[in-house]
Parts: sequence; structure tokens; C-alpha cells
Amino acid sequence: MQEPTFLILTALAAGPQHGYGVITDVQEISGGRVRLRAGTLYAAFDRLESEGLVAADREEIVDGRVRRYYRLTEEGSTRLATEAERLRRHAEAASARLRVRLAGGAFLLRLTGGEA
Amino acid sequence: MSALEDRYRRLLVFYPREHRARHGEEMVGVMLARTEAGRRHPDPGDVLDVVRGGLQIRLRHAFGPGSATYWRDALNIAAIVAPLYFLVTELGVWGMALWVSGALPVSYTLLPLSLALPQFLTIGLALRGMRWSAAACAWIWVVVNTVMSVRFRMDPSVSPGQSATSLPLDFPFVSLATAFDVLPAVIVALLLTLAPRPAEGATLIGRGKLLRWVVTAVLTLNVVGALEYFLTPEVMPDGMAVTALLCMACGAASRTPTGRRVLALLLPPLAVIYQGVPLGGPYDSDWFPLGVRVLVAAVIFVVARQGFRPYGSGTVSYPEPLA
Repeated sequence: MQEPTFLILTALAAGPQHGYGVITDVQEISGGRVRLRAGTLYAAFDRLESEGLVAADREEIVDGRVRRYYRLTEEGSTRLATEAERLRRHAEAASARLRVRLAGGAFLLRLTGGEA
Repeated sequence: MSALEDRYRRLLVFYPREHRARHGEEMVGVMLARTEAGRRHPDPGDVLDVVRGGLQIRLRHAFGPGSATYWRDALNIAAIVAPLYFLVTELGVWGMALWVSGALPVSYTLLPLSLALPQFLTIGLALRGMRWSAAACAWIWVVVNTVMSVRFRMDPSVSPGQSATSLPLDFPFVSLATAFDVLPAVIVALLLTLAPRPAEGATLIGRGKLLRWVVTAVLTLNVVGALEYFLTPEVMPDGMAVTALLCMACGAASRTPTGRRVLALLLPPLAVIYQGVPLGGPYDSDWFPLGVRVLVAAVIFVVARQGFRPYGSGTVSYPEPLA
């Protein structure tokens, strides 16, 4: 799953949101690193809707303009949980190896008297 | 509506019509919400992103997993429409040839007409649901056509209507000319082999509608051919009638997703057959007559695509299903 897709599903996991709400939420979740644009967002919505991961929830009229809310489906929720678990395992593996590497580095540092 | 909103709205032309109708307003709203105050033109990054998103959606709709049914239907329709098209274009010329041949030997007109019989048989078998028999018949016709073409090209005197000195006989020319001669038959045979149920293609269009189109097209081509012959006998027919009928059919087909896929399947081989001159004009024609042809063809296409009735079914806004 690509990062924008993961972040969109994550944004919708908290509850139904409209397009601009998803954009601001994704920006917040990613710490300002990912700034979705309308083209990317609606191409993703189109794909995710056809895959059954996202569905239209309700519509509102705000300032004379349609505002459609999207929600995560059960299937979308399952896919997001699976992906989150996969990423968590990878992150844990990476952290564990980095700890070993750092511990090994410290050990070497002690062995060489701080000149490693 | 502000100028900026209008410009954003114009960018939505890159999206499929259904997507525009469902998400257009939302997208414009999102783009405006992201825009800083005082901006008059869309952000170039937004423009690129919107165009890319539209193309992604179009590509996914055209070739994604959900399009398999459309492609299958399109293949079935193409397998019926292609042999009918080639039959119509041949009958459209031969019918008039029967009429105007006068004192010429009967073989000049009856032999070419008899060559249409295998095509009738192929189409009949396909319409009756005997797909493999139709495909076998089409491939046999390819072989027969190839043998006849090579023989006629090598020895033009055996071909009705050819003068014995009219063609060069070197091998590359004969090979290329034969390839173009048999190309329509090969296309028909390939489509009938690949299409899972060609008979369903005829049902999707409507058998009655298909018959009406065929009869109308054959009559039109013959009447136009006869008029051209009697009004300007010294000028070769320029094939504009075929082009007009083709544009009309393309316009009508382009209203539906399945129809557009039929065009995607059939137009490339047709472009090869017409050797890059799809409007039937002579190669040496100057730009003005060619421009007029293009304009007429475009108008016919647009009128057929929009539908002939301002309201109701059968228009772009309310595309009727092929079924």
C-alpha cells in the first residue's frame, strides 16, 4: 500500500470526513510532510471506492457547494489494520537491529578507548 | 463564479464525464479551499496534479479490473461489426457495378459479387452462435483470398477489370499488395477467433438495428456511387460516403463505454487498411478539399455523438445502453 493511500485510510479511521478534511488531516498525521492535492486525493478515492475500502457517507451543502463525506468500510478497516501491523513489525525489526548496531558501536568504542 | 473557479472547473475536462458529474463540485471546492487568497490563476502544481489524477482515473476505468466486462462485450460486438462493415463497403460498390457495367462481360460484376457469399456465410454462422464454424470459415476465406490475391497480382490478366500491364510484378510489391488485400479477412478471422460470443455482440446492439444500419448503408453507398458516376463520370469516387457513414457509426458508438472500446479495437486496423488516409481522399489532394472533408466528417461525428434528439434517451447526457 502506498503512503498516500495509507494516510487517507488512517485519516478516515477516526470517522467520516470530506475531501478537504482528509487533506488537512493527512498533513497533520504526517507532520506536514505529505500535502495531498485534489487530483491525487480524488484519484485515490475513485480507486478505493472501486476496491470497496472507502464509501460515500453523506452529503452536505456548504456555501452552495456539495460537500461529500467519505467513511472507511469494514474491508477498508481490515486492510488498514493489516497494513498497520505489517508496518509495525517492520519498524520493530528495524529498531531492534538499530539497537544491536548501536550497542555494538558502543562496545567497540569502549574497546578502542574512544577512538573508534 | 470567480475567474479562478472557472479555470479550476475547466481542468475537470480531463476527468470522465461520470466522475465530473459526481465529484466535480467537490473537487472545485477542495481546490479553492487550498488556494491562498488573492490568487487569480491555478497553482501549476495543482494543474499538473489534477491532470495526472484525471488521466489515472481514465486509464484505470479503461483498463482496470472493472473494465473486463466492457472489453468482452466490445470484442463480441467488433467480431460482428467488422465483417458486416467490410461486406457493406464491398456491396456498396458492387451493387452499382452491376447496374452500370452495361455491355461488359458478366464476370466483371458477378464474380466479385459471388465472392461476398463466404462473408455472408461467416456472418450467418456467427449470428447463429456457431462461433468456431464462423472462425473456421473466416480463416479458410483468408487462405482463399491470399491465393487469389497472389495469383491476380502475379498475373493481372486473370483478374476481372485489371489490364494485363497495369501492375509491376516484383516480389516486394506483390507481397505488400497481397498483405493489404487480405488484411480485412485476417482482421475478421482474428476477431471471430478471439471473441467469446460474437452472437451476443449482435444482441447487444440489437439485431433489428444492425439490419437497418446495413441495409441503409448499402443503399446509401449505391445511390451516392451511382450519382457520382452519372454526374461526374470522369472523376473517381472519393469515398466520402463511406467516411460519412463511418463517422456516424463512430459518433453513435462513442456514447457508451462499450462502444468506445469497440472503436479502440476497430479503428487501428481500419487506419492501416486505409493507409493513413481515413477520409477516403486521393493522396495528391491539396489542403482545402481535405480540410472540407475533415470538417464534414467532424460535424457528422459530433451530431451522431450528441444524438438527434435534444431530450430523452440516446444522447451523450443520457446515453442509452447498448442492450
